[in-house]
Amino acid sequence: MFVQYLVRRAIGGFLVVLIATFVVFTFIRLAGDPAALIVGGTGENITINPARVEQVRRELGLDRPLIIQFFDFLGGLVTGGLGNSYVTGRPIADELRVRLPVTIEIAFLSEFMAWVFALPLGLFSALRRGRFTEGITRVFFFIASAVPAYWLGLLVLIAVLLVFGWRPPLGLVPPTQNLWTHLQQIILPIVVLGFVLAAGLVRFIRNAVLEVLQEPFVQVARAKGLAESTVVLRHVLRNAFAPTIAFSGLRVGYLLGGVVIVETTFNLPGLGLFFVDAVSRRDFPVIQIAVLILGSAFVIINLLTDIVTSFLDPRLRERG
Amino acid sequence: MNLPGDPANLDLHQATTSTDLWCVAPCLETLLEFDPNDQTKILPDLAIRWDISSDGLTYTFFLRQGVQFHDGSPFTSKDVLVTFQRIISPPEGVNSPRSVFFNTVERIETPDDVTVRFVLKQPDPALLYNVAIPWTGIYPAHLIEAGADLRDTKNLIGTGPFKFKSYTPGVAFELERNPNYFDKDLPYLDGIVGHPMTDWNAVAQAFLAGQLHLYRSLTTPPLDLFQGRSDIQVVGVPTTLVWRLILNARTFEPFKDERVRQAITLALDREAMIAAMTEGRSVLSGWMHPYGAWALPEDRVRQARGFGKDKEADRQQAKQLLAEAGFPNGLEFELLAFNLDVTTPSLIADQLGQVGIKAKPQILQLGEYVQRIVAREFQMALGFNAPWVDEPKSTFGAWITSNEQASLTGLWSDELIQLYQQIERELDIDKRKQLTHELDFRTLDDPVFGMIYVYRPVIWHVFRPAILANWTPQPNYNLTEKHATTWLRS
Repeated sequence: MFVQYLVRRAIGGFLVVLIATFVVFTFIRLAGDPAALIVGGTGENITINPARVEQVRRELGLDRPLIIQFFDFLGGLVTGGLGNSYVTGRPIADELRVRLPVTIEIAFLSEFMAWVFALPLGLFSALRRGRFTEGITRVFFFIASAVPAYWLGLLVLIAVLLVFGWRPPLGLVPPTQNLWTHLQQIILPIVVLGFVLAAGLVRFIRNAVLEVLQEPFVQVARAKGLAESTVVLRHVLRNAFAPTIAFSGLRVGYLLGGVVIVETTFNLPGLGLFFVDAVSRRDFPVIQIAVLILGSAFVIINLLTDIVTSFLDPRLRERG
Repeated sequence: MNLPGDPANLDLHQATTSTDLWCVAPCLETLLEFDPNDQTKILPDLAIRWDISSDGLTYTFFLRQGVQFHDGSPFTSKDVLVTFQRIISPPEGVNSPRSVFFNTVERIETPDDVTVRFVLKQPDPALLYNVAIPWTGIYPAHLIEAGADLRDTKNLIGTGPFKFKSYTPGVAFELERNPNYFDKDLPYLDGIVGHPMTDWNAVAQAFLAGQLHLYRSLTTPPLDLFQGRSDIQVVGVPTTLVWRLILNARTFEPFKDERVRQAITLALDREAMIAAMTEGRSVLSGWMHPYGAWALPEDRVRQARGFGKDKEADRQQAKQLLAEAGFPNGLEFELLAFNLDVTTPSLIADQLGQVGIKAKPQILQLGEYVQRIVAREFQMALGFNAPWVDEPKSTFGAWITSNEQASLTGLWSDELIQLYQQIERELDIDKRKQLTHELDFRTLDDPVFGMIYVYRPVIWHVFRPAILANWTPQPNYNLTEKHATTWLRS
């Protein structure tokens, strides 16, 4: 039953990614011509020669029917070629090899940080309900959800620079090369993004825990004379986890958006800037791969979330 | 130093962005070069001297001997020949935006290994400038003949003072000292590292933290961060770029009327824009750079329509002209701009609004903007006039044309085209200067080509003079980027 369900979800996810890719594939072609940009250069140096634009369009194969271009792209994917960037001529695969791990690391560690912030605070405010704790969570929630990551990032950077005269070394050294430098470079962005991501999480954890606390089985557990810590850790938390994890899974898009922002603010060589640049340069092959990767990440993480929650809550598995 | 982003195209002959140039220029050299501390002067580079025939049709360059490329191959006249052939008539798949510079070249001859001769169809005094701009850097002939992809960093091979070391996208583009540089004493620096950074606040902070020695941008830096820091110098130099309005008379009939065009130029308050957009660091000028050899004197600029002091009188006159042209209630059209600068279009719209002209700004992504311009699908557009070098052919050549397909505006004046063609050929420098002044003034005063001068932005330079030595801020940030004689004081 459950396996069937997962297979169904996987196929659905695959179709979603395919459709998203096609939609983006079509729409970016309506919104600006890479050939014009290649010939015209940047806004600084627009020297425009329509005949030359036509020639470049031919060279890039952009004069062919849309559907043929799309199947060409899919064919490339199947045979393992991600293609080259229109603008730099460099293979996209080379860029991904360097940039993808960076983005995954930041995303993963930031989400982890969010849990570090949110779990104790959410739990605390649910268990000790009262003006004071309520106030703390509320203040935290408002600050964290009102503050944009880029602004907080800048603020933290300026504060650290002005107070300690320190700024993380530029760029990002691989952890295998120098772990200490790597940690210095990564710590501020993940704390900042973790903080911002924690906003929604705190509220969700608090509500989930409150809901579970009202369940009859909690009363039963207490009535059995279990220690309060056992009740909370074994019965309440476990049941509150399933919906919280599902919630986190649904927020992948939000997480990835945040990663792009901190990558820019902290100048980290992840996928974010690469993709943003690609959009403004109308670098179609890169944009398509970007949608494919982000879409797949979204689908895969949601699938994983399903699996994890179903292990935490067997009822979900049964329902299939 | 900072780079505004990752380099897009490392093939210097195809490249068009400052980022590309800043990465590549220290590796490649040209026949002549501009003085890094005074861009109005041309100095020898790979050519040690040159001769111009009395009819102005033959330019002979005598090349430096004993020069080696980074890969060890010797530099000869063949490299020059093959490089310029590639720029002038690029092979399939290569886009050469500057081929038009050499449209007067009939043929290039190489009588021996150390002599190159450019034979021209007509006199072209701009040639010396065009062989000195870094975009015409010389690659080894064997690479070009083998059809190598010059965008690839492994083919970044020249005779320059620095050679390619490494590139990590998003992190750093690194060059190292070329130990075999022909001048044994140069360069002074051990290397150059460019960090692609798109967030200006991050750049400013990295500079404050001492991670950058040089920080340049077209966007005003966060000046308050540098306030009270006597060790830091912040300089805004008027660039060679000029914001201009492009009136498309093909799609908007009223622009054909000279009174409408004049009303628009009268309504613009350039000095207000300089104050608002450049912290007052730019200056009122004509199309040619105000500090350059061809500059139109300021008193002459002020005589041009709309450039005077009395803006109120200008606005009255603008309204009157509009009424005479049959638009007493003003007119309405779309103002196309791209997202580099969103304030300038709204300032323009506001100033035009004061005489009853409703220009509705539409800000697009660069890609879409360029496409609309190429397709001529706009009414009024805000863009740059971006000469590669401060020289009349480069400044006016791209838009003074009667070629219907090339014209962005569908407007021209036969009389001024003749004047321009005269400038193109004139060998006498004083005469050429005088004609250039004439053309500059007349195109400011009456925008017959549909090109309206708006204002000249500044390029900001932030550096510590006590550390960065033998380097001075220059107006054209794409002209003297070799850094051979710069050094750092510890």
